Amino acid sequence: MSDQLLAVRHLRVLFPLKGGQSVHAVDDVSFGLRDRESLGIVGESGCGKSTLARAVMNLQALTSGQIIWRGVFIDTLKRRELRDRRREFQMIFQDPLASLDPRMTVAKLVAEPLRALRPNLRTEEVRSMVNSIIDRVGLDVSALDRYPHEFSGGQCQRISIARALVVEPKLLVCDEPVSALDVSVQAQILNLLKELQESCDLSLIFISHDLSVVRHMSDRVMVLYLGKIMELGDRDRLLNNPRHPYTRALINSAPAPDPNKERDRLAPLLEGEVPSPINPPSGCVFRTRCPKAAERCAKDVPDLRPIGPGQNVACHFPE
Amino acid sequence: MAGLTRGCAMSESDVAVQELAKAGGGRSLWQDAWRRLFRNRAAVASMAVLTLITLASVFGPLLSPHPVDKIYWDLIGSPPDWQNGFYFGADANGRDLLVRTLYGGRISLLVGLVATLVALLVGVSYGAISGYVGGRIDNLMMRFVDILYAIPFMFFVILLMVFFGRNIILIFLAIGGVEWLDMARIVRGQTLSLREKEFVEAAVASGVRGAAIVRRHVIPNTLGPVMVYMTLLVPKVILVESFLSFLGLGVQEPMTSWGVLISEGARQMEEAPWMMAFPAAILGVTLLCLNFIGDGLRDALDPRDR
Repeated sequence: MSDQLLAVRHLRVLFPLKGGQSVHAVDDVSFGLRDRESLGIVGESGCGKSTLARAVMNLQALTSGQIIWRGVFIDTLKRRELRDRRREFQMIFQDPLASLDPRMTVAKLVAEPLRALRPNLRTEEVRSMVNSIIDRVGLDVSALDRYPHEFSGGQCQRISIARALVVEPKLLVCDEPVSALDVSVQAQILNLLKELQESCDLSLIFISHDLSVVRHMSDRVMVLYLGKIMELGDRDRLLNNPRHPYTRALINSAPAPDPNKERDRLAPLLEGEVPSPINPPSGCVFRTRCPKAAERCAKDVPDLRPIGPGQNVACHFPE
Repeated sequence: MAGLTRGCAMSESDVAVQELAKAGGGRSLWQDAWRRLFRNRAAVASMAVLTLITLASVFGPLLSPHPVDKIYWDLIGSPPDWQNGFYFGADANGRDLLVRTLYGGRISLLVGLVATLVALLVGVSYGAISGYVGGRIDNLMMRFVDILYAIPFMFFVILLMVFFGRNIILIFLAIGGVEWLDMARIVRGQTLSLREKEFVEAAVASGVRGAAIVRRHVIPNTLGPVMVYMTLLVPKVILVESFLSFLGLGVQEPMTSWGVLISEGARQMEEAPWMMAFPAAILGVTLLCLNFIGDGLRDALDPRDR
């Protein structure tokens, strides 16, 4: 696969606790990402979505596994080499205001990655690049002289996007970029991201707990549960014909806009709580809440295996 | 004229571009802070008063007809008298109290300024680095601070005097060298919480180096508490100096400082209250001014507070 941009292999992130136990945040996750593709990652809170994003961004040390970015193992790069590579992948964060330094003007905030990653640029070049990106994310140039707290959440997220894209990256990792925003503003930001993906030839890793947002944004979808991939496949196949019981339950739990449809759900809603990631269930991690769980599920860990064209599922008894 | 025509011909987009050029230049935090500080009336008035006191301390003794160490035997302990030009009266040794107060201001202001600056520079950078790097290095650096805390201050000063001889500069360094410990702890605590903020993570993701993150993101965001602590530190340092002088480790006769004058005056408080009142009043006014300025600076440095 020559157009493979990113490959993640057997990624595992554990947070050690006192007493020898550890939190299994991301456990044996492998996937690939093609150029200009957008991958949506869904899952409940605490399933490791953000940790996965931070690991891909090299903000989080890996316990084991590899991250290969355009043929280079970036998880083992030296700090300086990694910094050179950072131009190619950037990130936007969940809380738009908290991710902007309150004591910096927008001009400084947006210029910062340029100054850090392309120190050879002249001041005027930096200025014109900042101005053009600010314009492209739909902000007025008068915004440059103001501070983050003077903007609304949606505008702050636009500033974040400008900061991420000013270095012209290949990949943009979006960690729940709209979950802190009003619904009306969500749509604007999502459309902006789509439009920029087109015009800037971006690949996206798009994390959300909202299925409708993921459906709107992604070519492929990954369903995470307790740090493991449950199902990974093309958007339409996965969302219209889910093969994993968890994906099914997730889709069902999303409220339907039509109350009459509410009644005929495909399967019962999930019951119980997500098990503790400190001590995940043996075998299949989903078996404690799975309606189809059998003896085998407690013993063998189901591998993620292809089950149709462009669809992979980690279940012993797929639908 | 040429300028005028050009000005008229300037299209709207030109204006926008010029505005942009100004904006893109990016005002720094400090430029903004100065502008806001000068809008704060209390701070501006305080700066004026403080400048006045400083100028008087520096040039006053040169202009006064009474030398700082001249003893007027017939005026020992005399009260303020506008007729004979002893406006603050004379001290217990018959020296002009006005010129001695101004002279003392030189030492006190210098100690306050230099020792606080030393504490600020060392404390802020030490605390920010320790907190940002974290882990084992943080542990090591903070245990070192704990060890320094455990050394008695007087012992430290006496040791310095023994090794290097008595010297004003040494007093500054000794006081600064001890007072930075609190500053380091305050800044480290702030840094620990700042380090987890998303904007710091965003800076890491943007490829900003650790040193630049500490300088551009961490330290500016600790300035609020640092400013408050600094306004408390200046008076503390001035009083510590007077304590050292009282023990014979600070400035010596005929040199003097506000702390020395106040403690001498306190001994004559009942018979000659002016001996304490004048230096104490000037010290009080100075500290008040510093507080207003510190307050103003803290507000000015926070863009959220307009």
